[in-house]
Amino acid sequence: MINLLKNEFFKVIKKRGFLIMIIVMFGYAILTNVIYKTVYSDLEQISESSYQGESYYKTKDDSLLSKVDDKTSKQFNKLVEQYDSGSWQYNYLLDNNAYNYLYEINSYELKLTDDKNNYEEAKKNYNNLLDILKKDDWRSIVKQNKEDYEKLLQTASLTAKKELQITIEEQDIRLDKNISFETSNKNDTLNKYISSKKELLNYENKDLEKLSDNDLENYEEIRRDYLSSEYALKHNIPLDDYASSKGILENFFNEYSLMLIIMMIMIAGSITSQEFSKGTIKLLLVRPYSRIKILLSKYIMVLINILMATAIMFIIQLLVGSIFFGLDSLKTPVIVYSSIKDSIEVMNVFKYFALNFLSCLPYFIIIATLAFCASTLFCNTSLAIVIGFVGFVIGNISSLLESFKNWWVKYVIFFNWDFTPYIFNNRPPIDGLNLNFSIVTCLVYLLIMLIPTFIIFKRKDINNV
Amino acid sequence: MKKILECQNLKKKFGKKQVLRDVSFSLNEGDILGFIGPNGAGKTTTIKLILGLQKINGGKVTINGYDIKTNYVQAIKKVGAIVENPDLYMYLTGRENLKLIARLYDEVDKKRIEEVIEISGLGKRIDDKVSKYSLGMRQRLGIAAALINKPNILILDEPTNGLDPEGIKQLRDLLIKLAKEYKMGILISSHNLLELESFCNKVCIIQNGKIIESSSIKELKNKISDSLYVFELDKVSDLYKFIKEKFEVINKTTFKIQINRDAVPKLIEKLIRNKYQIYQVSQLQISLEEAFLEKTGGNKID
Repeated sequence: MINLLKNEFFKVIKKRGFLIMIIVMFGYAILTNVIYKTVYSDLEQISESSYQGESYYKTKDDSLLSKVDDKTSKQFNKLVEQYDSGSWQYNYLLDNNAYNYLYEINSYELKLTDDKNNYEEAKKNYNNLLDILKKDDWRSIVKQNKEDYEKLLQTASLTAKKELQITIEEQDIRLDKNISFETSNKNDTLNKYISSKKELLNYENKDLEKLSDNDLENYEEIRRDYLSSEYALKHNIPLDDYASSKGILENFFNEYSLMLIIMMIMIAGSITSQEFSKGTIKLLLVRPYSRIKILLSKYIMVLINILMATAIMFIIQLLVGSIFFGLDSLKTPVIVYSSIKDSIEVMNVFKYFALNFLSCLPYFIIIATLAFCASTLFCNTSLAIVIGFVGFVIGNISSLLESFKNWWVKYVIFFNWDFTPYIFNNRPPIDGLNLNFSIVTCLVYLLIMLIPTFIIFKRKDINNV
Repeated sequence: MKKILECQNLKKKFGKKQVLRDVSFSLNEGDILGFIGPNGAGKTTTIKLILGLQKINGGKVTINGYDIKTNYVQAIKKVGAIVENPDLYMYLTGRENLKLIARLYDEVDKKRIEEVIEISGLGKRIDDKVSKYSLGMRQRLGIAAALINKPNILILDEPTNGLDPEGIKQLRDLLIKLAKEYKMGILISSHNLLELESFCNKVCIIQNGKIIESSSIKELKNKISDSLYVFELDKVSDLYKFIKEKFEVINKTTFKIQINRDAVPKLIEKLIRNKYQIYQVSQLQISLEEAFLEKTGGNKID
């Protein structure tokens, strides 16, 4: 039996398709790394809102209005361009009132309005702002902000108070952890922390049990953002650092499962049918082994190939990742949120990868088995590969079924083959699913496919090719 | 002589069509059995039944004392075979192909691989991919692969396909040597009857799924050529006036006739009475192919 398996292994790795697949995987990994490098390490999307300052003076003279708009835009752009994009000054200008000050000033100067007080105030503020920017002293801005918010706090209503307190906390953290407005992972983490904490205020008085599925999902999402960003800030761990070897490994099965599935289906879909189409099945069967053992060795090879494909892709990603990003980031742990426990867990990126692989394993096994059985039953490689891919595609769009509340939905394989919820303690996609139920369902599906395949193969007449 | 392969009343149906009806024959050690029949007669089907590649609908195959239905693994251990074409893994080299097969037998070691490479006569080409081989080279590799487990039964389906005359001669010498020295029993099917004549000591003729003749080559020849005679006379005109049997005029002075041995003196007498001069009467030495065609009535398939 072990010798049969050795032969199958040898035949698979010697195929030209196998080599080509590895080359394709390399190309795909390079592409993915390039995309991560350009998309995620590029500065965060600039919020354009303040660029398009709306004119808030109503006037009949449209030409005057557009003149003010024009001039303000030009001045503002000139001001912003002095600073590197991503620097704290740049971000601060975009996020704050500089445009509005300029607009006020220009409105007065171009005689759109004659509110002199407003003008003077705007001019003062604007000059102040320029001063601060020149001094490169963001801490004083933060301190100033904090003072302003604290003043507001005394008069604010109860709900507003809570939000203000969070905003003040932000300023404290900025000062404490030395986080400027400059585009950085820390700044992003802080923003995430603050905004998720603010959003959570909305849920404070709600009964979580009564939330609709959608709302509950949203809530869990916010809790995840909140808890993970809180932890990341506290322990100085970069969060969402996608443009790194660690970031890509974290998303490995999202990015590469297509490649893995192609490789698995390609091998599983051809392992038996190719022997038939090339006539070598006769060479194989006329040996002192029972047909069941011969087919079993092929099936075990299909399973080994799942492991092999993942391992190869993993190594390729490490290689390519080390060239693009280096491997230092692999030391940073991954923060995982569990929605059932409503807590986070911190783990090594390799452990996270292994757990993710375990989660996907039932899915891989079922898709590969489908292609393998089709290959054995129909003795037609292309048909088997197509059937494998049909399973893959239907599995991908199956989430549409979630909205059905029928009793049978939980028996559908697509909801049972993803073990992520069980391994990471998340809510399953459908109520009533649990680990044991899913394991049994997967096994039943496997047996339904495998038993007829083995019986038919045992009885099959080998006809002329 | 030990019986090493025995087929008893083999039946096989494809759908409604009865492909084999009660095929029975046996192979002794040291025998080279020629398995002859026109296209579609059931040669390859019989071989596939023996090798367990197709299910038997009735009857029994015993190899080295093991019934293949109940003890396939033991039965097939000492069998080497090529069915239809020598189908090998084209993307592997000749040596890799041999290694794959060798791994499936416990007792086959590296030395044996070298031995069969030697037998195949492929030399350095053994390390080329099989896809680069000619049909004849593949045939040689196929035979080497069939011999790798030191079988005592060798089953070859159309082994001379694609071999050049030199290759055929080598194959013939090899098979004769295997049968003599190793007491191997060889079952060989072929369309090329002329070659079988020099290979085999026994012959089995199959037509429309039935064995119609099973005997030694010598007997077969005798049986058929018993009744074929060539007469050389001074002239062959007007013979039809007094010869009632069918005869065939070959040229101005000779004719061929199919008659019983006992009828020969009477015919001679008749010819003399009619003033023909007889120079020579000879029994026709025919090739196996002619005998076969005579027997089966050409390449008819029904």
